[in-house]
Amino acid sequence: MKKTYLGEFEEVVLLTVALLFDQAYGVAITEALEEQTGRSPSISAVHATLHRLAEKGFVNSRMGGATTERGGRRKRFFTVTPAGSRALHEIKEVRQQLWQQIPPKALQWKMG
Amino acid sequence: MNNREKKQCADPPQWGNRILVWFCAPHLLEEVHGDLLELYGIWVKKYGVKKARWLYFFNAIKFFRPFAFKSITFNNPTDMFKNYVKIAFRNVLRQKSYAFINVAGLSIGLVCSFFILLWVTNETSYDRFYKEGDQIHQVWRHMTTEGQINTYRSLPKHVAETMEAEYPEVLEAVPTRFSQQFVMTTGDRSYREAGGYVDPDFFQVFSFPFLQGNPETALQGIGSVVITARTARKLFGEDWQTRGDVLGQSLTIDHRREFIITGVVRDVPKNSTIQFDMLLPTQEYIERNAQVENWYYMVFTIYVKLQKGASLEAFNAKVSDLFNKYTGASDHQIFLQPFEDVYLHSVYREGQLAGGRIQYVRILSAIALFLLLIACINFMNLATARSSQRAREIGVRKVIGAHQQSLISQFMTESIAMALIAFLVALGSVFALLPAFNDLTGKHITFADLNGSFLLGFLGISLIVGGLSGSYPALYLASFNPVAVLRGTFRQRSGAVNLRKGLVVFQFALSVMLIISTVAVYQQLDYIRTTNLGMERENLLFVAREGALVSQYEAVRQELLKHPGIASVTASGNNPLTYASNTTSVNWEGKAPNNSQLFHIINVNYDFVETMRMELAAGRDFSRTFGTDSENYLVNEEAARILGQAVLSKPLEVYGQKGQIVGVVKDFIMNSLYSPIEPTIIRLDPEAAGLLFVRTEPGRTQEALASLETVYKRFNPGYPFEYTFVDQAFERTYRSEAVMGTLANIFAVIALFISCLGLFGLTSFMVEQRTKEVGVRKVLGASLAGIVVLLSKDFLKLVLIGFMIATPITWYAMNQWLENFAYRIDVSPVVFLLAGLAAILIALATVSWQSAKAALMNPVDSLRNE
Repeated sequence: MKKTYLGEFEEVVLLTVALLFDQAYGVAITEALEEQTGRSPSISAVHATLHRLAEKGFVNSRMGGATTERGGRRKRFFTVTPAGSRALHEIKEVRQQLWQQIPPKALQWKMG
Repeated sequence: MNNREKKQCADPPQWGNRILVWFCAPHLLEEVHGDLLELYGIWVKKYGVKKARWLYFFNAIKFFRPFAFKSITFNNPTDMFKNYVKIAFRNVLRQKSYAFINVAGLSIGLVCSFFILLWVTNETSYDRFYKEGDQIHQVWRHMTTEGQINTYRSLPKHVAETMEAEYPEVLEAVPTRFSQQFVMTTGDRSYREAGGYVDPDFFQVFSFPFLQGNPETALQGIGSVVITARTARKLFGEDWQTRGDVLGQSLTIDHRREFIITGVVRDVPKNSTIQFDMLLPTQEYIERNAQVENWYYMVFTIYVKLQKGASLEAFNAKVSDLFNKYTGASDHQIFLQPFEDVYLHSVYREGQLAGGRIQYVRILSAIALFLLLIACINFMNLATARSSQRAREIGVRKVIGAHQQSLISQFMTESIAMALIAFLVALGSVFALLPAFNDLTGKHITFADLNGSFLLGFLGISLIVGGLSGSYPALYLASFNPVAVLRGTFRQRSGAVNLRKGLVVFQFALSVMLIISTVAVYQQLDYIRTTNLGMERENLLFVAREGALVSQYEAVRQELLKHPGIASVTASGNNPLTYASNTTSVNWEGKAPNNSQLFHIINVNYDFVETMRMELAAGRDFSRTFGTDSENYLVNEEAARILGQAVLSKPLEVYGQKGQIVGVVKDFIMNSLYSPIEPTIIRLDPEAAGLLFVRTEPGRTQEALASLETVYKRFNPGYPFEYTFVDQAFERTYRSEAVMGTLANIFAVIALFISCLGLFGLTSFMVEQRTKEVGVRKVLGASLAGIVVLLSKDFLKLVLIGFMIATPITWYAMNQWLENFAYRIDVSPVVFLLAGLAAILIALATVSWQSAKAALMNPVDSLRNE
């Protein structure tokens, strides 16, 4: 299986999509990103990332949910594909392995 | 969603939307737009309307990323290419005459611009092949006389010497004297060669490559001569290089001295103002002419090589007073001009550089661009005028699903194909007409010169012309509404008709202008040829006085008079019809103390007035019976006027020599018809009269020539016999006007043809628009003639307008040009009328052909669709 690397921002966005499960669309993802990570990416950056993730095959999308606030325009909802899920898990495992092997003295200082 | 709810969404800025819609891919637009609107609502609540609007706009712009772009649907054109070519080809076959006219129009524009490109490239390449050429300068002097500033390039040799000595910026200053004729003798063969005297350092300034010999030392010895390869071939045969003994051979020059060949240089390229076949050291000239020591003996052209990076302005400021410093004068100013510029910029007026040949370069370049523009516009006109022929095809293509883009590419392909055909035709014409072009312009461009870069340039021009002219018709054709077309109710927009009308008026105005100019120029040239010059220039010829003609002048003269065909013989320092030497050192009774009037001087021998067939206004010619005539003078009427009218027997002093005025000659044209007669003094000075003039009896020219040759060969066996007819020499001075006349002629024809093209296009269009009208008129009983007149009326109006515009402009322009001539014709109104008539007739022919075709059409066909 080919290795497609996930950028840091892409990873975060993908996780957020997973978090919002079935309700993940542009504005919601951006708001969740702000809440969860404290960053405020522009809506265009998020869209561009989602587009890239779709190209890599990590998300699927479907149209739906038009509202008046949107002038009657539908939203595009994103869901994580199995491939995307596998990629996220792989990252998590790699991180955990690394963390486990770090001697306590190396990373003494935490947040707070 | 009802309207009330819609109003509740506060208005996001429209321009942000517009931009978004413009660049965003349609399948992404909905969600992006939706997200932005949703965010807008949130921002309004959070920040207020104003900031929300700004945020909306800002974020909309930020979507300008590659992922969101509309895909530039580049429908692969190569698939349809074969089809386009096939259709284009069929179209040409179907509308042969129209295609032919189109290609012809383009080709003419291309051919003219190709030739002009060749000419301009050649002209701008003069003198630009020397190493370190930007350091070479030519020396000029301004001389102020009676408030007028005249500029000359003749200088005394001292200027060069002092420049080199006093100014460190001057690396070399070389005095030269070109345009000399020499007689070169080797063994028993004699040749006439053109050449000059140059300083030994000449080759340090001008990098003429030496095939044999050393440039640094070649002209050091006073008895040395440098020749060109051409001369070497002439003297020693084709194998002169392998002979190895050319250097060191001796040549006799002008039968007066032997010179050793010390160098052979490569032939001088044609695009060089410095031309020579042999070079002698200036020292040799100086040795024979002691007058060169005088600061006022100005016969040299001086070239200077400045240090690299030296500032020309600074140097000119320094050297300006050089002449005045050493001579105590105050009326001279010395300055340098970069040599590479001199060929194109050599005309000075009142001390300012006023142009020169560069004006012709500019005018012709403008004409070339202009012609190309007209060719493009005509092409566009014709293409759009006949477009209803293609309307159905376009309709069908669109219905089947062709993009606008594809249709545009199709028509562009057709235009470019036509442009390529025109390119080939033009190229062929250039090759075919090259000899004629060389004749006309006096250039020597060979087929070899039409190298790769020229051909690429030509091709480039053709493609640009094709693309440009094809663009508008392509867009126009591709925008046809298929529904209207196929239904049969399609009528062309008449929007551009006024533009076309204006264009036709303009083109005809131009044609009329050129026709009138041609006639005027030819008339003036004719006048020049037949005007009375104050002397008879036919049946008069001259040879240079060399060898025995100098020492045994009287014997030669007696001998000539014994031979058939010869009427009289004299000698003169110059051809009286050309400019010669002048001086201010003239004194007469009553001359104002600071008067520095310039007089022309002609040095002559006896029988001058008679041989020239000039007329005496008073007094007599020099005569052998009066022994004192060597101190006497003849003056022309203009000089007499300046000296104070009744001048016979009054004293006159020239060059410090005192004498009497014994005769007044009626004014004759010296210099040229461009300038008024100048005061002239004729002195008897047989030594200085370097040309032998022979008047032949009319009708016996051949006999006279034979006689002259016999006598000449007897007295001067070592000199090749060469003579010049005065009337031919005279015609040659007006060569550039003759060329101008021919050019005006050619352009007139071209302009007329192109105007007819434009008219043809306009007519086709108008006729097509009125097909139904014509049909109805025919049905109601109109005659063929009646319909033709009806249709042609409008166009004749246009031509008349063009004529009326052209007339005052041409009249003014022609008079301006004729002002240059002191002797000129008056442009008669008849010429204008005839030119206008010619234009009208030709236009009529073009228009009536189309109208007649329309009038002859069966009304059934034209009214069928009602």
